[in-house]
Amino acid sequence: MKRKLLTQIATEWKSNMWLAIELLLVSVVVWVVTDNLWVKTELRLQPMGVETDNCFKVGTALVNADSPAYDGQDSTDLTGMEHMLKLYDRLRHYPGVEHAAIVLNGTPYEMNFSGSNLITLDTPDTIMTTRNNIFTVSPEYVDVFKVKGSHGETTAQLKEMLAKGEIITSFGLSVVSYADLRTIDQQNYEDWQRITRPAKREELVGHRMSFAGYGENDNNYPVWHVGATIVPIRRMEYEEATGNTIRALDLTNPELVCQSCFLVRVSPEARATFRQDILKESNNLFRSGNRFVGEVTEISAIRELTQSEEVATIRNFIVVMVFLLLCIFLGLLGTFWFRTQQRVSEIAIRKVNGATGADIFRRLIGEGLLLLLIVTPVAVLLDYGVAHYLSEMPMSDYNLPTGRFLGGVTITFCLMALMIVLGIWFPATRAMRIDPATALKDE
Amino acid sequence: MTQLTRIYREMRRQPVIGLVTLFGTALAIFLIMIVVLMQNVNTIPFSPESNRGRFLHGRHLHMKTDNGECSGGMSYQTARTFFCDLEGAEAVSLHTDGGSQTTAGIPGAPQAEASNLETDAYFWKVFDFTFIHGNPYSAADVESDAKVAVISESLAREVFGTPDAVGRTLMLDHFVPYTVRGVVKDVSPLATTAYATVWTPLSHDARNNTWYNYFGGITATVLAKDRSDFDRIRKCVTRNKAKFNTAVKAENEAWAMIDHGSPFPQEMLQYATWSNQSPDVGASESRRTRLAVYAILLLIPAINLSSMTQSRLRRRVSEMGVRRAFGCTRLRMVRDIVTENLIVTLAGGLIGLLSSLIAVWMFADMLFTGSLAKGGTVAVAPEMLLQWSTFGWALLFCFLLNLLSSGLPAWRAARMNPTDAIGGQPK
Repeated sequence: MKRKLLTQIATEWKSNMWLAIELLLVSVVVWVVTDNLWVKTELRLQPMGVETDNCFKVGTALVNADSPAYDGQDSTDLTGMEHMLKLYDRLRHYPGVEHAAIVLNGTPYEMNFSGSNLITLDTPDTIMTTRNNIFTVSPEYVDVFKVKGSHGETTAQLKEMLAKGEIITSFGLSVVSYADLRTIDQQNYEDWQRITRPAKREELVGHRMSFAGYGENDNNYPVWHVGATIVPIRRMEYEEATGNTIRALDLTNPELVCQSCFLVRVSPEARATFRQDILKESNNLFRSGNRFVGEVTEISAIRELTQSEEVATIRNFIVVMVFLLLCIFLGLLGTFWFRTQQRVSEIAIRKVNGATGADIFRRLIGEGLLLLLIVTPVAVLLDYGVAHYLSEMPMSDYNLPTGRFLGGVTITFCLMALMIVLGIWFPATRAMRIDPATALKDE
Repeated sequence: MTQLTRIYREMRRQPVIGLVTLFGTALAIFLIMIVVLMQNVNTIPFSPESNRGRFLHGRHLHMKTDNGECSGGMSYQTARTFFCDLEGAEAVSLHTDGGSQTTAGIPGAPQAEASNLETDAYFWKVFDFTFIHGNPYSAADVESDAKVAVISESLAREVFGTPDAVGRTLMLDHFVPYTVRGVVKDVSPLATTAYATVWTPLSHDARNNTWYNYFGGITATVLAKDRSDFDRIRKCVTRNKAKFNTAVKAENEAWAMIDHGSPFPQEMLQYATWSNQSPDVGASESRRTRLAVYAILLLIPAINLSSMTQSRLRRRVSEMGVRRAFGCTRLRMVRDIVTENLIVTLAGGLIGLLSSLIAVWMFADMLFTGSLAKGGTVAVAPEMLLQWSTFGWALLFCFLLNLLSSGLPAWRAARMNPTDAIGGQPK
């Protein structure tokens, strides 16, 4: 059967060549899209490290000096912190608020990166973090976002650690050891990549750390004890975890407190009206001195805004893929419709010689699928070439594990096969119904 | 007419292939035109940016400092230095770069979210807003830092329940009272330079907001008398920049301006994202991506349609043989086939174009979410879509698609031997 099909394909090579070229091109583009969507889906399925449903960001501002409501007696520099803490206290006790934290840096989906590298002070070989987003928050932060320890530590335990002044770091934080660092060219990006590795839990937990470049001898820089590791907190759903460290905000530091915002978790019942309820009180309950609550944004709204570019890109990719698959469908529908018309007498003779309608149907579908099988090896080679090109681009972090490559190729093949079957289905059904007597009489 | 009859007959004889051809063409043109329209909104003129063709934008400042480089927006003083005494300019407006998010409302009521752009009085000359009520603020208002505002119709309705809000007091940022001086028709966020919902005089705070002396949050929009004046204007700006540089060097020898050729015409504005980079970099990258997208969107349907055309022509082999036998030249044959196909392509193209216009009009908010999310709901007015350039692009892509899909089959059909063709055995 296969040999006969091959002969038939070879006989009609001119029109099959067009189909083959089309299948080849579409196959490569569909693979690129599939691979991209695979990567995005894999990322999206990773844990975010925070639960943000029913959570809000509450921001404060100062009354403008031009406003009649401005209190000229209130020196914002000196009393600003007191006002912030007063507002924080009122927010914590506001009906419907389950947890509230005061946060300098750590609002999910805001894409902030406060990068500072920490080094261990008491390990035989000093270890330094290489990509570490520092969250400076009040201990309630872990309650608001239900942060979990990587090794079963509860939210309550994590909160206690922060309250004690310990830091918690994400599990698998990227680190380099000083011993390795001495062996490389430190200006070389690839050398850095080679020695960077995820830290083991025991390398961090229980150890003392400080900012790189400063040590215990520098009294201005604090030394922290690592209490636990947590599930890494990601900045958005379409980005790998950057690695982070959570430390407690010093609530006696006016500069830090005044630059902070509040993050709150409310009860599901309070969620719908929370924003308007709070903003209504901007000049009363939620005003202290010249400071007032001026912004209440649901974290889901921040997420939507931050991820809108990514979502739009995914949507565009899907549109292009659907368009190309539709092209395949239409191409095969048209071509095979025409072929069925051309081959009426041939099909009639086959039927006279004992072929059933199902045989004719299978033969036509088989012809399309065989064509796909023929072009697939070439398409796979081209896919590999594209992957190689992407990985060789300067500063590229593109890599293609064999599993994903094979998965992408399989999905592409299946999608293309599906379109081929659907495209040939109608002409093939028509061919099945050819009455040999009538067809041969017409001839 | 003969060709139309022939097409009609063909369609009736092979309705499935005819419909597949029509639908395939429509689909290809639909997607291509969506890409074209999304690109076009950056340059096509519409109120209040009806003069886009005469705009030159000055956005950023990039400087070499004693310990590296620094880049960002311009301070008011820097912008004034760069954009003063411009020959060939009808008006120059200095304003803040993009609306800042604020709240607007009346005391005791829920506050509306608003986007606030601070501008000088020339802003109202450069941009053609449609005033429903009241007037713009004056140069004297700007000089005196008057608390007056022009607001959009929808904001007026949201806050005051009526568009006639002139003279009413609007609280911005919760506590600062402004008197509404005028109400304008809503502006689409696609008008990226003029978009806001509240426009207020360029405040003293905004003018004094500087860092490193030269940087700030001010941007300039120059309205040239004519596009042919662009070179004259640029020459004046270059002269002003040289003066600026001399003054900078006098203060600190190590400092110098790095010039990226600002101001830029409207078509380059979308690429002037980074203050430390020439927009040419982004423009060429974007051009490459667009070419790749057009190539994919054109080539694959063209292969498809070519195969379909080939099929249709194979049914008419004998007819072509007879025509050739009666003296029809090869060139005429090719021309007839390509023209015949063009009529089908144009019909499909028209369907595709209309569908794309409707799709962009209906789903603008979704289509432009990525780049313009800051602006809330994106509305696309019909006059923004119904531009001659849109039809021009659609026609061009139809011609290209037609040429790609019918050129080769027509050439092959014309090369057939008439005797073989009449016998139904083409080689």
